[in-house]
Amino acid sequence: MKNFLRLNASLLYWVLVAPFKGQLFKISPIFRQMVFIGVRATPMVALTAFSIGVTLAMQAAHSLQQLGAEIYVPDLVMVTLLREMGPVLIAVIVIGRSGSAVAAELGTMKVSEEIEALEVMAINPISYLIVPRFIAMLIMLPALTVLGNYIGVFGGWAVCYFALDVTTAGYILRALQSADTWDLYSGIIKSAVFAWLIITIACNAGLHVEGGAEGVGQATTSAVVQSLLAMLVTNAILTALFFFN
Amino acid sequence: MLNTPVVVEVTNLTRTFGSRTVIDNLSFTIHRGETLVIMGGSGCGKSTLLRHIIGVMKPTAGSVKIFGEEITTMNDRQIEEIRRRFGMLFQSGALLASLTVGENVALPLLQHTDLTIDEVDETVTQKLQMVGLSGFNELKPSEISGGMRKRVGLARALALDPELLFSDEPTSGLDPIMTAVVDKLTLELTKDEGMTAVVVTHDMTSAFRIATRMIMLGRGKILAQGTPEEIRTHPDPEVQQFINGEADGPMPLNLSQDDHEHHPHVKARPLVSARRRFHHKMP
Repeated sequence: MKNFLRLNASLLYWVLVAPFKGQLFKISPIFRQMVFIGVRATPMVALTAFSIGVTLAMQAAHSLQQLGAEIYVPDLVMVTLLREMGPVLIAVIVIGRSGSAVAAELGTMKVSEEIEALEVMAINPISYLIVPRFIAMLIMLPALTVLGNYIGVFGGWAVCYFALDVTTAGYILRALQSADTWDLYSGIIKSAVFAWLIITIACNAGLHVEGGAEGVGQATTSAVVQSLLAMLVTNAILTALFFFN
Repeated sequence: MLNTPVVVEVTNLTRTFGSRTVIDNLSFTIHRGETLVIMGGSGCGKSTLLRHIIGVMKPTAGSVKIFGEEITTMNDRQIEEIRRRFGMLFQSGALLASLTVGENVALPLLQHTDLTIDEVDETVTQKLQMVGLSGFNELKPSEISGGMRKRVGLARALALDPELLFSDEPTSGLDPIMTAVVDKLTLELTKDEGMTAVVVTHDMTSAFRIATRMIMLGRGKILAQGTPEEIRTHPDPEVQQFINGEADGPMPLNLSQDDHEHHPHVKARPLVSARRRFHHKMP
């Protein structure tokens, strides 16, 4: 925990303070990490989001049909997706894919003395390794969430259009009427907070690996488990703050 | 003793891990242009000593001065400033696996200088040529042999033309010809460019070829120090055993686990109990 807080403090220093002292971070590694963390995750995110959209629509239809209110299916899909399912499930994908990869990569670098070598070359590992990953994650997870929302809504439309008597125009109208911009923004805020948690937990686990390949494996597992737990608990807290007061 | 200025000054350096003293009240100085070879059996504290000199580890007591500045009490920023002035070759090479050979050598140049890409390229080519690896720029460290990796590590350590070079076993894993090449390079750099070298090694041929002064460590203390000639004729039988590589002699053959610094928390478990645990798991 102490290590985690110290990592956060030095990250904030390198992102917010150091650039004003003339120690700018380089842009190209950020883009490289954005491709790795974000762009390469799009197929998985798309598939997940589509499945969630379809599932939500089917469940909503099942309940609402009994009331003869299947016109409200888009409402339900939209709100659930934007507020909860989108941010949470896409964060799960990114934890499984990128969080574990970052922890394993940094852990391997730690055990093969690469991080010590950087320090001895007077290259700060935080600014050289962690900052690009941090910024990339902070940009890409919300972006993936927005993309996922679109695809999820599309999945909901597919169910409504092909299996229920809802027209495309009707679906779009209902969806836009039901959702507030705040629903979208709250989801984006959530995913930004998740991004922060995922990347700092993964980096912290990776940087403090000890004891060879076994240690790298343990660090990767604990990074995944800890960020899942932290993400779900934070989600509950944020939902309470945003929608339940 | 040389009349050139002191580059590294170690005074009463002590480091303990728990109850075990790994470095016991060491004092020595290194002058500009010298090649100091630090020798000693495995696990005698050579690498630990090196880590204290470069400021990666903090001593229990004592002081280390590099270029006249105390490194043990410095903050991270000050240590970074000092580290730009020396190069370090790691035992394993410690190349960044995600970068190519060329990018590894270019890394300190890109991070610490304002050279243009062309100038960086030129320097990288020149440094790789110095270690006999021209044309390897585009390969990844995983695609070259261990000895090559070590030479790339040397090229990277020399990238910024350091005043001071630390090498942790620079020639282990190299064939005799490449060992000679690396030794010749060290000699040229110290004689012609006035670089100072601190070399930790087991390789006695190489040690006697490059050293201007030698220190032999044992049990965290200096057993012997002096010029290569003085060491060769040193009366201490332990020193003679070591430099001649004899199996029988005063040096203990086995270190117990308690003598080793890295795993103070690990308790030795008898094999019998391991076998019992193994069988216990069997259906």
